[in-house]
Amino acid sequence: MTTPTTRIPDSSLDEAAAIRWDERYAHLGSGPLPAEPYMSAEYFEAEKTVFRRTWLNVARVEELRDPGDYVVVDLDFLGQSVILTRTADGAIHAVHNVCSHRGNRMLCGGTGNTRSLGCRYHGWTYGLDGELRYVPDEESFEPLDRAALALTPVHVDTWQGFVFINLARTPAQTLTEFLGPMVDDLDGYPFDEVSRSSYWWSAEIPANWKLVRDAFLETYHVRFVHGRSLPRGAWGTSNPWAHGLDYRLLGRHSRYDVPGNPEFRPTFMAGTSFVHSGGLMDFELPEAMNASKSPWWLQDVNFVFPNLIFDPSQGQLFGSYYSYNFWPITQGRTRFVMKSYFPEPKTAGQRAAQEYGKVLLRDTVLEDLSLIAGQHTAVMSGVKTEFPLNATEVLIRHCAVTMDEAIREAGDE
Amino acid sequence: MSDFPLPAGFEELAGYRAWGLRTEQERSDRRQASTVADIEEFYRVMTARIEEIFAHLNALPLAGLAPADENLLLLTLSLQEISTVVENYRTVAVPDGWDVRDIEMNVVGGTY
Repeated sequence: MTTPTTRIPDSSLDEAAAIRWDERYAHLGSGPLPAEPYMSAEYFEAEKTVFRRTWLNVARVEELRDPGDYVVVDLDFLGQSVILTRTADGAIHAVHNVCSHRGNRMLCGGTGNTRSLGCRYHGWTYGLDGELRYVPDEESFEPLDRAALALTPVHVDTWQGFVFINLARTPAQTLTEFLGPMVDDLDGYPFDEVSRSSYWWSAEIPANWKLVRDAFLETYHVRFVHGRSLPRGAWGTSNPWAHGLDYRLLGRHSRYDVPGNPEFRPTFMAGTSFVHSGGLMDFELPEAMNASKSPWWLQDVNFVFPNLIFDPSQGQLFGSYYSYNFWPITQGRTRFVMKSYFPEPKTAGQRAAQEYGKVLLRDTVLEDLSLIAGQHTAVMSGVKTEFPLNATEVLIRHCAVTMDEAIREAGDE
Repeated sequence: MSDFPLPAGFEELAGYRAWGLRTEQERSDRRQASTVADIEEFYRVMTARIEEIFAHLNALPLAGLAPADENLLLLTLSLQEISTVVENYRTVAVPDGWDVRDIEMNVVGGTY
């Protein structure tokens, strides 16, 4: 609903908006971004070599809450399928979804709870940690080396409840080394407490996975794409083009801070719901969050190379945070998975209030997804060979530079 | 009305029992299958009493709701589902948006 907007200039927003982040990160280079990596089947093949050797977020621990819980992670673009399990001792394991007998795919997707992992071809049965437990008619084999016939393990580790796997036989880095500065910076954000309920939206988007990802790495588009869903959500008299408040490069990862705006006026149900959602969550933000200490900060956007984004807040957007995984299917198709996390509602009223934030977020993302599908078609027309980037699109440049670097590194092995 | 009980004082909302849906998928499907006029009517009736509704629901732990209280919650969840239709879009679908019917929905650890 349109209401006249009162002009509320804010000098702190003007100052933040004036920072030239492209100059601060001049080492990333300047000039337009080549279109080729978004279009080329060869580049997609090279990216797969990176996905095969880097840490990949495939779940959160809440998806493996109880002993016996399992999740099958199908990475068809790499020809791989991995089973994640939780054992009685609380540990999380990852094994290849390939039977040691004659190579059958054991579980056909999905999630569940089980006491053991069985192959439906000849009934070979494994423990949740992959150990071979039972072979029907074992006497008719030559003596079997059971230890050698365990399911093939996959490297797995967790950070703040995010479960990562690495498909390399010997990963070049531990998960902690891989995450680098991201680890220290976010210690203190209560991921455990605020991740207990999550609501997911998933879709197969006809677009290159990097086009889908890039849309969540800048706020330049917010004024144009989300004018209906988030009117004056991130821009106003001050900061008219929705510049982020801060941009950080963290190794191959990065972070930027999404601005709010003093002229933002919530709709009736947005305002009502915010009041009854319990407002801001009661904990102190880690020092690294809201790095510029702006009063207009809404959330941090964290990019974890190559295909995870998570956006923690203190409840400014009703929930605790949301995450996005961008899974390549082919050069031109992407499985988009968004998970929105909320603190556990104490009352029925809080649950009802949370639903507003959930629906607004979902509807807003629908605006992005249709646009990206159209962008992919247009990019693939080949009319443009390069794209100019502005100062606030610097994290997209960083992604392009680091992926090139990671591809070279994989090629050197 | 006995198949859709509501807390005392909220009985008039039973006429909107078709919005008493337990999952986001069902609420979204119903929104997509409704007219803007029907949605506006539901919005008007619910928002007229929204402070009373929240006052009632805020006093109740989410776990173990009595059927009447749960029905009031379900109607409020549907109000949220359609509030963007009335307040932001004036259309049932998000204008120029991806078709929500092509979105798969899932819940881990959450309710409703």
